[in-house]
Amino acid sequence: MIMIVTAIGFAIFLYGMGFFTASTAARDQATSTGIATLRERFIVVDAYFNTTENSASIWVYNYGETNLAISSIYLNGTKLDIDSPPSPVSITPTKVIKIICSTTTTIVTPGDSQLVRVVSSLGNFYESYYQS
Amino acid sequence: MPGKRVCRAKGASRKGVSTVVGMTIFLLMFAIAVAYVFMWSQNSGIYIDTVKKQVDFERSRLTENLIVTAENMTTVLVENPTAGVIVVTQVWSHNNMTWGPGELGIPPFSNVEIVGDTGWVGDGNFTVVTYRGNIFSGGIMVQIEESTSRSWEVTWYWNDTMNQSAHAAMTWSQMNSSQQIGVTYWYDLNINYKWDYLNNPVLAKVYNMTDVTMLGFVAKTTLIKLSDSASEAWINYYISDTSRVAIIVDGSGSLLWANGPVKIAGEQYSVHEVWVFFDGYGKGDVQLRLNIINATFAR
Repeated sequence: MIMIVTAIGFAIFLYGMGFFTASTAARDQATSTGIATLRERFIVVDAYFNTTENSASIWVYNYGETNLAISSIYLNGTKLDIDSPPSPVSITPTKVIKIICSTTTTIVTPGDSQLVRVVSSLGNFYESYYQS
Repeated sequence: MPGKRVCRAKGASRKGVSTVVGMTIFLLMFAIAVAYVFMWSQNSGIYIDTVKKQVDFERSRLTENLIVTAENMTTVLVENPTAGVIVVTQVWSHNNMTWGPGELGIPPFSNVEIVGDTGWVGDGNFTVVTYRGNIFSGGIMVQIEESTSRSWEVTWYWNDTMNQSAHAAMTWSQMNSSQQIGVTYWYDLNINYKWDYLNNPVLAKVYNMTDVTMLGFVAKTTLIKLSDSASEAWINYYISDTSRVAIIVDGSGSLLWANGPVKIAGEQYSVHEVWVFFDGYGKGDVQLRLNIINATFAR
């Protein structure tokens, strides 16, 4: 009887330890990511569109408390290729950086408002209209 | 009998051990669970604290407000109407960062003039970026759009000596010796004022004016020049033979007897203060027709 109780108890203990350890690790990761997401803040301060070359220059300002990694940039719903600086684009806090993007298709109409969306690797995004 | 008693005692002892072992394992697991719950609550506490800080930051961010006024193509006046200090980090114009990155604190209820970096030419429209990530804009074109509601501020005077031949168009010193009747506003940039000599209005009767040339006015406004430095803004005017006008631009000017234009030189979007002194002279109708080219109301 003692052996049975000890064996079952030990097995439950091991399972419990594994469960708690895994849950805590996952929770730690989720909390860290959540905190980093909250502390990440950025805006597009200006944008310039070259309608003849189908390229755009976008200035992103990191006013958050963590390093910002730009994942992708969209112009009127079309994902742009990031030409400069080399991807992944990283911006330290309080810095502003110019990102040059291009696309192979014509998506900019001169004189119209262009919808720019910048997405970070943590899933935050900033979106606004800019005049071409 | 005694042997049976020994056997019972041994069996009872084994039962108690398994219970103790089970209880010990349960207590151990309970203690570990409590420890992990404590760790989780600590983790949640850190997250909640971060959320609180972000909410505080966002609240501070939402209270920011700046009034951005372009003074010329390279200089911007940034006014802080709030009760908190606002830190400006960048000023943008014409797809260029004309000032910054840096940190310039604007005290509550005060303003700061920011001059763009030398060698740079903007378009007169500015975007000011704050430390907390707000963007405020203002520009000359905005002023022009707002100027549609601007006007001439017209102060009316009368004096029984105004129509004497030696009496030129009114000046400030003459104004002081005249009686102020009231103030009106003309919302049209162009002026067309005419008063027939024989048409004696109620106003003249109220003030016992024997002659409409006893009446005069000073119209003042601020203009913004729209043409570039190569071409001047013009103030064209026409006056009747029995009228006199003085057009003072930025503090200088003279009495004008003959019809003609007054020209305003300066950079594009330069701001000019204009005063028009007008009164009658002799016996006859009074009239001033004035129109402005290459300039509009500024605030």
